[in-house]
Amino acid sequence: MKSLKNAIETIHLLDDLAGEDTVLTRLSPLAKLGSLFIFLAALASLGPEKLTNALLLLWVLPVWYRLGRLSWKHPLRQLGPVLGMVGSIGLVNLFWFQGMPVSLGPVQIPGGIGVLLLLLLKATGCVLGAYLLLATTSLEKLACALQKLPLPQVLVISLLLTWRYLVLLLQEGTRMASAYRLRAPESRGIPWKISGSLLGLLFLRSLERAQLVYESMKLRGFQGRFPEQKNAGSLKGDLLLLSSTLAWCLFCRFGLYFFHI
Amino acid sequence: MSAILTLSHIQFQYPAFRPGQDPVPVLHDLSFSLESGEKVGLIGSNGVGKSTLLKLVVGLLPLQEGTLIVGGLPLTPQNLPTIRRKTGYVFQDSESQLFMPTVESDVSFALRNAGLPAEEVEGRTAAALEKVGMEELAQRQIYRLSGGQKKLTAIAGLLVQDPDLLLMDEPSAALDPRNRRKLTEILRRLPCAQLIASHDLDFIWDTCDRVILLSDGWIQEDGPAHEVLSNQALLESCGLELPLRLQKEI
Repeated sequence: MKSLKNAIETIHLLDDLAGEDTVLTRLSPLAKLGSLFIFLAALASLGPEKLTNALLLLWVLPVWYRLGRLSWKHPLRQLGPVLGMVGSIGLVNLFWFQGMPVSLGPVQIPGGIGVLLLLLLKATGCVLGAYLLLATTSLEKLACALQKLPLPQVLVISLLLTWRYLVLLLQEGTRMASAYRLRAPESRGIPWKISGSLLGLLFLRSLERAQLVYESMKLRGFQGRFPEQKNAGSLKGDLLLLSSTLAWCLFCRFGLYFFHI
Repeated sequence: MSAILTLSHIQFQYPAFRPGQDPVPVLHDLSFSLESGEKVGLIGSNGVGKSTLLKLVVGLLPLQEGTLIVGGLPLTPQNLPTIRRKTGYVFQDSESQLFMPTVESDVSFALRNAGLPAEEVEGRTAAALEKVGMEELAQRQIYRLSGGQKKLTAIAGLLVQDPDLLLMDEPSAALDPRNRRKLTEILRRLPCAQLIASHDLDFIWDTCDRVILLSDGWIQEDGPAHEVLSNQALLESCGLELPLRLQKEI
Protein backbone atom coordinates (compact mmCIF):
# COMPACT_ATOMS: atom_id res chain seq x y z
CA MET A 1 0.00 0.00 0.00
CA LYS A 2 2.73 2.41 1.06
CA SER A 3 4.89 1.44 -1.89
CA LEU A 4 1.99 2.01 -4.29
CA LYS A 5 1.44 5.47 -2.85
CA ASN A 6 5.17 6.19 -3.06
CA ALA A 7 5.21 5.18 -6.72
CA ILE A 8 2.27 7.48 -7.51
CA GLU A 9 3.93 10.32 -5.59
CA THR A 10 7.16 9.80 -7.54
CA ILE A 11 5.33 10.04 -10.85
CA HIS A 12 3.48 13.16 -9.71
CA LEU A 13 6.72 14.68 -8.45
CA LEU A 14 8.37 14.10 -11.83
CA ASP A 15 5.38 15.74 -13.55
CA ASP A 16 5.64 18.71 -11.17
CA LEU A 17 9.39 19.11 -11.71
CA ALA A 18 9.02 18.89 -15.48
CA GLY A 19 6.49 21.74 -15.31
CA GLU A 20 8.92 24.12 -13.56
CA ASP A 21 10.80 26.86 -15.35
CA THR A 22 14.54 26.03 -15.32
CA VAL A 23 17.38 26.19 -17.83
CA LEU A 24 16.94 22.51 -18.62
CA THR A 25 13.13 22.43 -18.82
CA ARG A 26 13.28 25.25 -21.38
CA LEU A 27 15.57 23.30 -23.71
CA SER A 28 14.31 21.12 -26.50
CA PRO A 29 13.55 17.51 -25.48
CA LEU A 30 15.53 16.30 -28.50
CA ALA A 31 18.68 18.10 -27.27
CA LYS A 32 18.27 16.57 -23.80
CA LEU A 33 17.55 13.15 -25.21
CA GLY A 34 20.56 13.40 -27.52
CA SER A 35 22.85 14.54 -24.70
CA LEU A 36 21.69 11.74 -22.44
CA PHE A 37 22.19 9.23 -25.23
CA ILE A 38 25.76 10.45 -25.84
CA PHE A 39 26.48 10.31 -22.11
CA LEU A 40 25.07 6.80 -21.67
CA ALA A 41 26.80 5.53 -24.82
CA ALA A 42 30.13 6.87 -23.57
CA LEU A 43 29.55 5.35 -20.13
CA ALA A 44 28.51 1.98 -21.56
CA SER A 45 31.57 1.86 -23.80
CA LEU A 46 34.01 1.94 -20.89
CA GLY A 47 35.64 -1.28 -19.73
CA PRO A 48 37.06 -2.02 -16.24
CA GLU A 49 40.47 -0.64 -17.28
CA LYS A 50 38.81 2.78 -17.75
CA LEU A 51 37.40 3.06 -14.23
CA THR A 52 38.92 6.53 -13.73
CA ASN A 53 37.33 7.71 -16.98
CA ALA A 54 33.91 6.47 -15.83
CA LEU A 55 34.29 8.25 -12.51
CA LEU A 56 35.24 11.46 -14.27
CA LEU A 57 32.42 11.12 -16.81
CA LEU A 58 29.81 11.08 -14.04
CA TRP A 59 30.85 14.59 -12.99
CA VAL A 60 28.60 15.95 -15.70
CA LEU A 61 25.59 14.88 -13.61
CA PRO A 62 26.04 17.45 -10.80
CA VAL A 63 26.29 20.16 -13.46
CA TRP A 64 23.07 19.01 -15.11
CA TYR A 65 21.28 18.66 -11.78
CA ARG A 66 22.38 22.18 -10.88
CA LEU A 67 21.06 23.54 -14.20
CA GLY A 68 17.76 21.75 -13.65
CA ARG A 69 17.63 22.97 -10.01
CA LEU A 70 16.99 19.38 -8.93
CA SER A 71 17.52 18.06 -5.44
CA TRP A 72 19.66 14.92 -4.99
CA LYS A 73 17.60 13.51 -2.17
CA HIS A 74 14.83 11.90 -4.16
CA PRO A 75 16.89 10.46 -7.07
CA LEU A 76 19.40 9.01 -4.62
CA ARG A 77 16.55 7.28 -2.82
CA GLN A 78 15.51 5.74 -6.16
CA LEU A 79 19.11 4.76 -6.81
CA GLY A 80 19.47 2.81 -3.55
CA PRO A 81 17.54 -0.35 -4.52
CA VAL A 82 19.11 -0.41 -8.00
CA LEU A 83 22.63 -0.25 -6.56
CA GLY A 84 21.68 -3.00 -4.10
CA MET A 85 20.54 -5.26 -6.92
CA VAL A 86 23.42 -4.51 -9.29
CA GLY A 87 25.92 -4.77 -6.41
CA SER A 88 24.63 -8.18 -5.35
CA ILE A 89 24.94 -9.46 -8.94
CA GLY A 90 28.36 -7.82 -9.35
CA LEU A 91 29.69 -9.40 -6.16
CA VAL A 92 30.42 -12.62 -8.03
CA ASN A 93 33.20 -10.76 -9.85
CA LEU A 94 35.13 -10.55 -6.60
CA PHE A 95 35.54 -14.33 -6.63
CA TRP A 96 35.56 -15.32 -10.28
CA PHE A 97 37.07 -12.42 -12.20
CA GLN A 98 40.46 -13.56 -13.53
CA GLY A 99 41.58 -10.33 -15.23
CA MET A 100 44.46 -8.01 -14.48
CA PRO A 101 44.36 -5.42 -11.68
CA VAL A 102 42.97 -2.08 -12.82
CA SER A 103 43.99 1.43 -11.90
CA LEU A 104 41.74 3.90 -10.18
CA GLY A 105 43.71 7.10 -10.59
CA PRO A 106 47.13 6.37 -9.11
CA VAL A 107 45.91 3.34 -7.12
CA GLN A 108 45.95 -0.27 -8.40
CA ILE A 109 42.96 -2.37 -7.33
CA PRO A 110 42.08 -6.04 -8.04
CA GLY A 111 40.20 -6.56 -11.33
CA GLY A 112 37.11 -8.06 -9.62
CA ILE A 113 36.65 -4.97 -7.48
CA GLY A 114 37.20 -2.83 -10.56
CA VAL A 115 34.39 -4.62 -12.45
CA LEU A 116 32.07 -4.33 -9.46
CA LEU A 117 32.79 -0.60 -9.13
CA LEU A 118 32.28 -0.06 -12.85
CA LEU A 119 28.90 -1.81 -12.73
CA LEU A 120 27.86 0.41 -9.83
CA LEU A 121 29.03 3.53 -11.65
CA LYS A 122 27.14 2.55 -14.81
CA ALA A 123 23.97 1.86 -12.83
CA THR A 124 24.35 5.24 -11.10
CA GLY A 125 24.75 7.01 -14.44
CA CYS A 126 21.71 5.27 -15.93
CA VAL A 127 19.36 5.91 -13.01
CA LEU A 128 20.40 9.50 -12.36
CA GLY A 129 20.43 10.29 -16.08
CA ALA A 130 16.97 8.84 -16.68
CA TYR A 131 15.64 10.64 -13.58
CA LEU A 132 17.10 13.91 -14.86
CA LEU A 133 15.44 13.50 -18.24
CA LEU A 134 12.01 12.70 -16.75
CA ALA A 135 12.29 15.49 -14.17
CA THR A 136 13.07 18.12 -16.79
CA THR A 137 10.88 16.91 -19.69
CA SER A 138 7.23 15.92 -19.55
CA LEU A 139 6.53 12.63 -21.26
CA GLU A 140 4.24 14.37 -23.76
CA LYS A 141 7.13 16.60 -24.87
CA LEU A 142 9.40 13.60 -24.99
CA ALA A 143 6.90 11.74 -27.17
CA CYS A 144 6.74 14.74 -29.52
CA ALA A 145 10.53 14.72 -29.75
CA LEU A 146 10.61 10.97 -30.44
CA GLN A 147 8.02 11.45 -33.21
CA LYS A 148 10.60 13.55 -35.06
CA LEU A 149 13.06 10.67 -35.04
CA PRO A 150 12.77 7.82 -37.52
CA LEU A 151 11.18 5.54 -34.95
CA PRO A 152 8.04 3.44 -35.43
CA GLN A 153 5.05 5.57 -34.39
CA VAL A 154 3.56 2.69 -32.45
CA LEU A 155 6.66 2.59 -30.24
CA VAL A 156 6.35 6.26 -29.31
CA ILE A 157 2.63 6.03 -28.57
CA SER A 158 3.16 2.83 -26.56
CA LEU A 159 5.79 4.57 -24.46
CA LEU A 160 3.52 7.47 -23.68
CA LEU A 161 0.44 5.39 -23.00
CA THR A 162 2.38 2.92 -20.86
CA TRP A 163 3.44 5.81 -18.64
CA ARG A 164 -0.12 7.11 -18.34
CA TYR A 165 -1.57 3.62 -17.83
CA LEU A 166 1.03 2.90 -15.19
CA VAL A 167 -0.44 5.75 -13.16
CA LEU A 168 -3.95 4.34 -13.64
CA LEU A 169 -2.77 0.89 -12.58
CA LEU A 170 -1.17 2.30 -9.46
CA GLN A 171 -4.22 4.42 -8.65
CA GLU A 172 -6.54 1.44 -9.02
CA GLY A 173 -4.18 -0.65 -6.89
CA THR A 174 -4.26 1.97 -4.13
CA ARG A 175 -8.04 2.20 -4.22
CA MET A 176 -8.45 -1.56 -4.00
CA ALA A 177 -5.91 -1.86 -1.19
CA SER A 178 -7.66 0.93 0.74
CA ALA A 179 -11.06 -0.69 0.22
CA TYR A 180 -9.67 -4.03 1.40
CA ARG A 181 -8.10 -2.54 4.51
CA LEU A 182 -11.30 -0.72 5.43
CA ARG A 183 -13.31 -3.91 5.20
CA ALA A 184 -10.72 -6.14 6.86
CA PRO A 185 -9.20 -3.87 9.53
CA GLU A 186 -7.83 -6.77 11.55
CA SER A 187 -5.95 -8.25 8.60
CA ARG A 188 -2.24 -7.50 8.20
CA GLY A 189 -1.72 -7.18 4.46
CA ILE A 190 -3.58 -9.02 1.73
CA PRO A 191 -3.57 -12.83 2.22
CA TRP A 192 -2.15 -15.00 -0.57
CA LYS A 193 -5.46 -16.83 -0.85
CA ILE A 194 -7.25 -13.82 -2.32
CA SER A 195 -4.32 -11.97 -3.87
CA GLY A 196 -4.78 -13.79 -7.20
CA SER A 197 -8.37 -12.70 -7.65
CA LEU A 198 -7.53 -9.18 -6.49
CA LEU A 199 -4.71 -8.99 -9.01
CA GLY A 200 -7.05 -10.11 -11.80
CA LEU A 201 -9.59 -7.53 -10.74
CA LEU A 202 -6.90 -4.87 -10.63
CA PHE A 203 -5.95 -5.56 -14.25
CA LEU A 204 -9.58 -5.57 -15.37
CA ARG A 205 -10.30 -2.27 -13.64
CA SER A 206 -7.11 -0.70 -14.98
CA LEU A 207 -7.96 -1.88 -18.49
CA GLU A 208 -11.42 -0.40 -18.17
CA ARG A 209 -10.02 2.97 -17.13
CA ALA A 210 -7.35 2.80 -19.82
CA GLN A 211 -10.14 2.19 -22.34
CA LEU A 212 -11.91 5.34 -21.10
CA VAL A 213 -8.73 7.39 -21.49
CA TYR A 214 -8.22 6.09 -25.01
CA GLU A 215 -11.86 6.81 -25.91
CA SER A 216 -11.48 10.33 -24.59
CA MET A 217 -8.37 10.82 -26.72
CA LYS A 218 -10.14 9.53 -29.83
CA LEU A 219 -13.10 11.83 -29.20
CA ARG A 220 -10.77 14.81 -29.09
CA GLY A 221 -9.31 14.01 -32.47
CA PHE A 222 -6.34 11.81 -31.55
CA GLN A 223 -5.32 9.76 -34.56
CA GLY A 224 -2.04 8.26 -33.45
CA ARG A 225 0.14 11.35 -33.45
CA PHE A 226 0.77 13.75 -30.61
CA PRO A 227 0.46 17.49 -31.27
CA GLU A 228 3.61 19.64 -31.23
CA GLN A 229 4.61 21.24 -27.93
CA LYS A 230 6.40 24.55 -27.91
CA ASN A 231 9.72 25.11 -26.13
CA ALA A 232 10.70 28.30 -24.38
CA GLY A 233 14.43 27.74 -24.97
CA SER A 234 16.56 28.72 -27.93
CA LEU A 235 18.42 26.70 -30.55
CA LYS A 236 21.67 28.16 -29.19
CA GLY A 237 20.99 26.61 -25.79
CA ASP A 238 20.21 23.24 -27.38
CA LEU A 239 23.42 23.30 -29.40
CA LEU A 240 25.45 24.36 -26.38
CA LEU A 241 24.13 21.46 -24.31
CA LEU A 242 24.73 18.94 -27.09
CA SER A 243 28.21 20.18 -27.99
CA SER A 244 29.40 20.51 -24.39
CA THR A 245 28.13 17.00 -23.58
CA LEU A 246 29.81 15.60 -26.67
CA ALA A 247 33.09 17.37 -25.86
CA TRP A 248 33.04 16.18 -22.24
CA CYS A 249 32.24 12.59 -23.22
CA LEU A 250 34.95 12.53 -25.89
CA PHE A 251 37.45 13.94 -23.40
CA CYS A 252 36.55 11.37 -20.75
CA ARG A 253 36.50 8.52 -23.26
CA PHE A 254 39.69 9.30 -25.20
CA GLY A 255 41.28 12.51 -23.88
CA LEU A 256 42.69 11.13 -20.64
CA TYR A 257 45.03 8.93 -22.66
CA PHE A 258 46.84 12.02 -23.89
CA PHE A 259 47.18 13.37 -20.37
CA HIS A 260 48.58 9.96 -19.26
CA ILE A 261 46.10 9.70 -16.41
CA MET B 1 -34.37 25.44 -36.62
CA SER B 2 -32.68 22.37 -38.13
CA ALA B 3 -32.10 19.00 -36.52
CA ILE B 4 -28.57 18.56 -35.18
CA LEU B 5 -29.21 14.98 -34.09
CA THR B 6 -31.68 12.50 -35.51
CA LEU B 7 -32.12 8.95 -34.32
CA SER B 8 -34.41 6.58 -36.23
CA HIS B 9 -35.34 3.14 -34.96
CA ILE B 10 -32.14 2.63 -32.99
CA GLN B 11 -31.75 -0.78 -31.39
CA PHE B 12 -28.76 -1.96 -29.42
CA GLN B 13 -27.81 -5.08 -27.52
CA TYR B 14 -24.66 -6.05 -25.67
CA PRO B 15 -23.17 -9.44 -26.56
CA ALA B 16 -23.87 -12.39 -24.28
CA PHE B 17 -21.60 -12.69 -21.26
CA ARG B 18 -21.06 -16.39 -21.90
CA PRO B 19 -21.38 -18.62 -24.98
CA GLY B 20 -24.85 -20.07 -25.20
CA GLN B 21 -26.49 -17.16 -23.41
CA ASP B 22 -28.68 -14.61 -25.17
CA PRO B 23 -27.39 -11.11 -25.94
CA VAL B 24 -28.56 -8.38 -23.57
CA PRO B 25 -30.95 -5.98 -25.32
CA VAL B 26 -30.57 -2.41 -24.05
CA LEU B 27 -32.23 0.00 -26.47
CA HIS B 28 -35.43 -0.71 -28.42
CA ASP B 29 -36.62 1.20 -31.45
CA LEU B 30 -35.54 4.66 -30.29
CA SER B 31 -36.48 7.56 -32.53
CA PHE B 32 -36.21 11.24 -31.71
CA SER B 33 -34.39 14.33 -32.87
CA LEU B 34 -32.71 17.38 -31.33
CA GLU B 35 -32.93 20.81 -32.90
CA SER B 36 -29.95 23.18 -32.93
CA GLY B 37 -29.57 24.86 -29.57
CA GLU B 38 -32.15 22.61 -27.88
CA LYS B 39 -31.43 21.40 -24.34
CA VAL B 40 -32.77 17.94 -23.69
CA GLY B 41 -32.58 15.86 -20.53
CA LEU B 42 -32.29 12.09 -20.79
CA ILE B 43 -33.62 10.49 -17.63
CA GLY B 44 -34.35 7.00 -16.42
CA SER B 45 -33.39 4.62 -13.64
CA ASN B 46 -30.05 2.78 -13.52
CA GLY B 47 -29.30 0.52 -16.48
CA VAL B 48 -31.98 1.79 -18.87
CA GLY B 49 -29.38 2.64 -21.52
CA LYS B 50 -28.70 6.36 -21.09
CA SER B 51 -24.90 6.06 -21.26
CA THR B 52 -25.18 3.47 -24.04
CA LEU B 53 -27.23 5.89 -26.11
CA LEU B 54 -24.69 8.71 -25.64
CA LYS B 55 -21.83 6.38 -26.61
CA LEU B 56 -23.69 5.36 -29.77
CA VAL B 57 -23.99 8.99 -30.85
CA VAL B 58 -20.22 9.53 -30.81
CA GLY B 59 -19.43 6.11 -32.25
CA LEU B 60 -17.84 4.62 -29.15
CA LEU B 61 -20.27 1.74 -29.56
CA PRO B 62 -21.11 0.30 -32.98
CA LEU B 63 -24.48 1.13 -34.47
CA GLN B 64 -26.33 -2.18 -34.87
CA GLU B 65 -29.73 -1.18 -36.20
CA GLY B 66 -31.37 2.07 -37.25
CA THR B 67 -29.90 5.30 -38.53
CA LEU B 68 -28.17 8.07 -36.65
CA ILE B 69 -27.54 11.47 -38.23
CA VAL B 70 -25.36 14.05 -36.48
CA GLY B 71 -25.12 17.54 -37.97
CA GLY B 72 -26.50 16.30 -41.26
CA LEU B 73 -23.98 13.46 -41.53
CA PRO B 74 -24.99 9.82 -41.16
CA LEU B 75 -22.92 8.02 -38.53
CA THR B 76 -20.47 5.99 -40.61
CA PRO B 77 -16.77 5.21 -40.04
CA GLN B 78 -15.92 7.76 -42.77
CA ASN B 79 -17.91 10.56 -41.11
CA LEU B 80 -16.80 9.74 -37.58
CA PRO B 81 -13.86 12.21 -37.35
CA THR B 82 -16.09 15.09 -38.58
CA ILE B 83 -18.90 14.10 -36.23
CA ARG B 84 -16.50 13.93 -33.30
CA ARG B 85 -15.18 17.40 -34.10
CA LYS B 86 -18.73 18.75 -33.89
CA THR B 87 -19.65 16.80 -30.77
CA GLY B 88 -18.43 17.04 -27.18
CA TYR B 89 -18.94 14.19 -24.74
CA VAL B 90 -18.44 14.48 -20.98
CA PHE B 91 -17.92 11.05 -19.42
CA GLN B 92 -19.61 9.91 -16.24
CA ASP B 93 -16.13 9.39 -14.77
CA SER B 94 -14.56 12.63 -15.94
CA GLU B 95 -11.29 11.87 -14.12
CA SER B 96 -10.53 9.26 -16.75
CA GLN B 97 -11.24 11.82 -19.44
CA LEU B 98 -8.22 13.93 -18.50
CA PHE B 99 -4.95 12.51 -19.76
CA MET B 100 -2.53 15.41 -20.04
CA PRO B 101 -0.43 16.61 -17.08
CA THR B 102 -1.82 20.14 -16.62
CA VAL B 103 -5.22 21.80 -16.98
CA GLU B 104 -4.05 24.04 -19.83
CA SER B 105 -2.40 21.23 -21.81
CA ASP B 106 -5.47 19.01 -21.42
CA VAL B 107 -8.00 21.66 -22.41
CA SER B 108 -5.96 22.69 -25.46
CA PHE B 109 -5.28 19.11 -26.60
CA ALA B 110 -7.97 18.96 -29.30
CA LEU B 111 -6.91 22.30 -30.80
CA ARG B 112 -3.21 21.46 -30.86
CA ASN B 113 -4.10 18.08 -32.27
CA ALA B 114 -5.97 19.82 -35.08
CA GLY B 115 -2.78 21.79 -35.83
CA LEU B 116 -4.23 25.26 -35.15
CA PRO B 117 -1.82 28.22 -34.78
CA ALA B 118 -0.41 28.75 -31.27
CA GLU B 119 -2.08 32.16 -30.77
CA GLU B 120 -5.50 30.77 -31.61
CA VAL B 121 -4.95 27.75 -29.33
CA GLU B 122 -3.96 30.02 -26.43
CA GLY B 123 -6.87 32.40 -26.98
CA ARG B 124 -9.52 29.73 -27.27
CA THR B 125 -8.12 27.75 -24.33
CA ALA B 126 -8.15 30.85 -22.12
CA ALA B 127 -11.72 31.63 -23.20
CA ALA B 128 -12.92 28.07 -22.46
CA LEU B 129 -11.25 28.10 -19.04
CA GLU B 130 -12.82 31.47 -18.28
CA LYS B 131 -16.27 30.13 -19.18
CA VAL B 132 -16.00 27.46 -16.48
CA GLY B 133 -14.17 29.72 -14.01
CA MET B 134 -10.93 27.75 -14.11
CA GLU B 135 -8.63 30.40 -15.62
CA GLU B 136 -6.56 30.74 -12.44
CA LEU B 137 -5.88 27.01 -12.34
CA ALA B 138 -4.60 26.77 -15.92
CA GLN B 139 -1.10 25.65 -14.96
CA ARG B 140 -2.18 23.33 -12.15
CA GLN B 141 -1.39 19.61 -12.38
CA ILE B 142 -4.50 17.52 -13.00
CA TYR B 143 -3.91 15.28 -9.99
CA ARG B 144 -4.06 18.32 -7.69
CA LEU B 145 -7.63 19.15 -8.73
CA SER B 146 -10.74 18.27 -6.74
CA GLY B 147 -13.46 16.08 -8.27
CA GLY B 148 -15.54 19.13 -9.19
CA GLN B 149 -12.59 20.95 -10.74
CA LYS B 150 -11.81 17.85 -12.80
CA LYS B 151 -15.37 17.84 -14.08
CA LEU B 152 -15.15 21.53 -15.03
CA THR B 153 -11.79 20.93 -16.74
CA ALA B 154 -13.34 18.09 -18.76
CA ILE B 155 -16.17 20.41 -19.80
CA ALA B 156 -13.70 23.17 -20.76
CA GLY B 157 -11.84 20.61 -22.89
CA LEU B 158 -15.03 20.19 -24.92
CA LEU B 159 -16.12 23.83 -25.00
CA VAL B 160 -12.78 24.73 -26.53
CA GLN B 161 -13.83 22.77 -29.64
CA ASP B 162 -16.94 24.94 -30.04
CA PRO B 163 -19.21 21.89 -30.42
CA ASP B 164 -22.61 21.99 -32.12
CA LEU B 165 -23.79 19.20 -29.86
CA LEU B 166 -22.81 18.55 -26.26
CA LEU B 167 -23.46 15.14 -24.69
CA MET B 168 -23.10 14.89 -20.93
CA ASP B 169 -23.29 11.84 -18.72
CA GLU B 170 -24.17 12.75 -15.11
CA PRO B 171 -22.51 16.18 -15.31
CA SER B 172 -23.66 17.30 -11.86
CA ALA B 173 -22.25 14.25 -10.03
CA ALA B 174 -19.33 15.15 -7.71
CA LEU B 175 -20.16 18.86 -7.80
CA ASP B 176 -20.85 20.87 -4.66
CA PRO B 177 -23.91 23.18 -4.70
CA ARG B 178 -21.93 26.23 -5.81
CA ASN B 179 -20.19 24.42 -8.69
CA ARG B 180 -23.47 22.76 -9.62
CA ARG B 181 -25.12 26.19 -9.85
CA LYS B 182 -22.15 27.46 -11.86
CA LEU B 183 -22.48 24.53 -14.27
CA THR B 184 -26.21 25.16 -14.65
CA GLU B 185 -25.50 28.78 -15.58
CA ILE B 186 -22.77 27.76 -18.03
CA LEU B 187 -25.03 25.22 -19.76
CA ARG B 188 -27.93 27.65 -19.97
CA ARG B 189 -25.70 30.25 -21.62
CA LEU B 190 -24.20 27.83 -24.17
CA PRO B 191 -25.81 28.15 -27.57
CA CYS B 192 -25.12 24.55 -28.67
CA ALA B 193 -27.60 21.68 -28.50
CA GLN B 194 -27.26 19.57 -25.36
CA LEU B 195 -28.29 16.05 -24.46
CA ILE B 196 -27.82 15.57 -20.72
CA ALA B 197 -28.18 12.14 -19.12
CA SER B 198 -28.72 12.45 -15.39
CA HIS B 199 -30.44 11.12 -12.29
CA ASP B 200 -30.31 14.59 -10.82
CA LEU B 201 -33.81 15.66 -11.80
CA ASP B 202 -33.44 19.07 -10.16
CA PHE B 203 -30.42 19.72 -12.38
CA ILE B 204 -32.44 18.63 -15.44
CA TRP B 205 -35.27 20.90 -14.30
CA ASP B 206 -32.86 23.86 -14.21
CA THR B 207 -31.03 23.20 -17.46
CA CYS B 208 -33.35 21.50 -19.93
CA ASP B 209 -36.42 22.55 -21.86
CA ARG B 210 -37.36 19.06 -22.92
CA VAL B 211 -37.04 15.63 -21.30
CA ILE B 212 -36.88 12.14 -22.74
CA LEU B 213 -37.79 9.48 -20.21
CA LEU B 214 -36.35 6.02 -20.85
CA SER B 215 -37.67 2.86 -19.27
CA ASP B 216 -36.23 -0.58 -20.04
CA GLY B 217 -34.68 0.81 -23.22
CA TRP B 218 -37.94 2.25 -24.59
CA ILE B 219 -38.91 5.90 -24.77
CA GLN B 220 -41.67 6.19 -22.20
CA GLU B 221 -42.26 9.92 -22.55
CA ASP B 222 -40.86 12.81 -24.57
CA GLY B 223 -42.14 16.26 -23.72
CA PRO B 224 -41.60 19.63 -22.03
CA ALA B 225 -39.26 19.27 -19.04
CA HIS B 226 -41.44 20.77 -16.36
CA GLU B 227 -44.45 18.78 -17.51
CA VAL B 228 -42.68 15.40 -17.49
CA LEU B 229 -40.74 16.09 -14.28
CA SER B 230 -43.87 17.00 -12.35
CA ASN B 231 -45.77 13.86 -13.38
CA GLN B 232 -45.31 11.83 -10.21
CA ALA B 233 -47.21 8.75 -11.39
CA LEU B 234 -45.18 8.54 -14.59
CA LEU B 235 -41.85 9.00 -12.84
CA GLU B 236 -42.67 6.42 -10.18
CA SER B 237 -43.77 3.90 -12.79
CA CYS B 238 -40.26 4.25 -14.28
CA GLY B 239 -38.45 3.87 -10.96
CA LEU B 240 -37.84 7.60 -10.42
CA GLU B 241 -39.05 10.19 -7.94
CA LEU B 242 -40.16 13.77 -8.27
CA PRO B 243 -37.39 16.39 -8.22
CA LEU B 244 -36.59 17.41 -4.64
CA ARG B 245 -37.96 20.91 -5.09
CA LEU B 246 -41.39 19.47 -5.99
CA GLN B 247 -41.26 16.96 -3.14
CA LYS B 248 -40.84 19.86 -0.71
CA GLU B 249 -43.84 21.62 -2.19
CA ILE B 250 -45.92 18.50 -1.66
